[in-house]
Amino acid sequence: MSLESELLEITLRSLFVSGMAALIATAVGIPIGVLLGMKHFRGRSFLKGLFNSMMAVPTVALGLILYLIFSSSGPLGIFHILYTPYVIIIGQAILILPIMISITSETVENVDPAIGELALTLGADKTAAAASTIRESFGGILLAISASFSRAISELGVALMLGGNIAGLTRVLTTAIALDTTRGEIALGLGTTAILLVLMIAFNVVLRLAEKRVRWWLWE
Amino acid sequence: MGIVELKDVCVDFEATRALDSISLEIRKGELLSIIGSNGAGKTTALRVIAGLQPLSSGEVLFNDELVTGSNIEQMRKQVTLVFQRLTLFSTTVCKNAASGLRVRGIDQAEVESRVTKALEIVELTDLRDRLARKLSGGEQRRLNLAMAMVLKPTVLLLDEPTVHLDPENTQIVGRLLQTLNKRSDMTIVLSTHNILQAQLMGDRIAVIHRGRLEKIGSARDVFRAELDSIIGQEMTSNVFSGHAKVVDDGTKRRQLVRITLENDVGVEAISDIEGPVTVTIPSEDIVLSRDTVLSSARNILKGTIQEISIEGAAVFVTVDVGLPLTAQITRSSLERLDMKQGDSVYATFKATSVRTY
Repeated sequence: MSLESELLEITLRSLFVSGMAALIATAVGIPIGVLLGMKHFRGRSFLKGLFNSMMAVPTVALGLILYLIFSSSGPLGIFHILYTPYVIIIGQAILILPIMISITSETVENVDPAIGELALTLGADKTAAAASTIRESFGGILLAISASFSRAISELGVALMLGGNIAGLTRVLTTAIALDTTRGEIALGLGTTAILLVLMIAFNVVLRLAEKRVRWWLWE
Repeated sequence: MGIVELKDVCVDFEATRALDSISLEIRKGELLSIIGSNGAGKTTALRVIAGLQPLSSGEVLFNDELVTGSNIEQMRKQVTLVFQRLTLFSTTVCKNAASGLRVRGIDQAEVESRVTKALEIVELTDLRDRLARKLSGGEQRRLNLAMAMVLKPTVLLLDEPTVHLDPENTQIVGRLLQTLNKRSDMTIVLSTHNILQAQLMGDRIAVIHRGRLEKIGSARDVFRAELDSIIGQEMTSNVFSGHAKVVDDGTKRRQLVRITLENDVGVEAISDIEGPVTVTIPSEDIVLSRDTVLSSARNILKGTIQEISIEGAAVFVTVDVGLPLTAQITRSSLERLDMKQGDSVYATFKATSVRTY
């Protein structure tokens, strides 16, 4: 396989793995974040603190824990997904879930409470009033998605420990950069790093461009 | 006939009782002003009427029907509150104005027609595609009004609709509310701490003090009833007690009186009252100058600037003329006159500006 084809394959795999992880974290994290931001219940502060702390979990530590869980002798070893892209997706989703939840809950909580009341007094029911609050949080929720995807695609520990950096199967951009560096192929490593940075920047630019359209659509 | 009725309503915020056994009937089509000092319970009362405030005890009836959890959303569709704090959605002026109609599922053509008309009335047509939060304070207040007006609510509630507005926007909003009330038969309830605004606008006035409804009736009834002892100086500026004596000004048609206020401060007014009197002087009718100005105004008082308070576009200058007299001026006037605390100034106002009760 040529270098270009290999780079393209690694890049597409990185996008797939981290994109799926971000999708899962978005689907699970945003509803939890919205609930934490809007509802006041016993244990809410503890949960918020817990998710905030989990944002700083070292990726190697999470990688090790998940390795023990998914290894053949671990509780989820029966699924035999260790050293596959699927386990990297799960690992990255777990890694970025606290980021998604924390930023979303913070942004929803910081929307002026008067927005919900404004919607109510204009005739909205409770669900529509809550939707107004979420709509006002849109910029923050987008930031949560952006930060989560960026964290997923740029992390190394989970991808390396769970995926094993197997060529043609689990090698992603960050594990490729690590390998190139240990082999002394600095130029190749720098080239792969450039691709990773361009991907991250491009993703955020596209997200911001989409923001205007989505905002417009939200108000239609 | 009462459209909204509050029966023995109490609202507690933890240990503080915000409303204490308030019973109040709001008549269909009337313009009711609720006055009281800051923290008296005006906003809480409006929130109760709007169905936004849970009650600690008591009942609210809308069209003779008890408001409960099951019909409160239906009631909210007919009662709209314009908040004191400027609150707008982060979208354009036009979409803000249409937001209430959209949640009601009104068709697009009707939405467009009502929004266009409302923006014309509040003089925001040219700004319809601007982001609402980029508007000035006065424009945002007018947009808040337009958002409520397009819904054609049965009851429109306004919490301090002119607070922090400059005199021009205050006039626009005041005119608008009176027109709405007269032309559409809409019931309007507004809260204010400005006695003059209440007197000028309201068919009836309700006075709330420390969470209790102290008095309700026509402006004349309310102000005759020991204004000072109920709310007095803490509620607004330029409310004084004095003694009026008729002065012969050479004309038969109008009676000029000289009123001696506290500390022997004298003002002249056009009034039919003799003897004990309560006086109010609108802060926007008082002209401040460095030197005496040649004018037809009968009241020129010299004093020292006690306090300068900037609230939005308006500047309130309190001058000690023997008693504290507050004048409302613009920021540019403040800069032009270069006034600061301790400066000597002249406060000038016409006899017709002095209101007596």
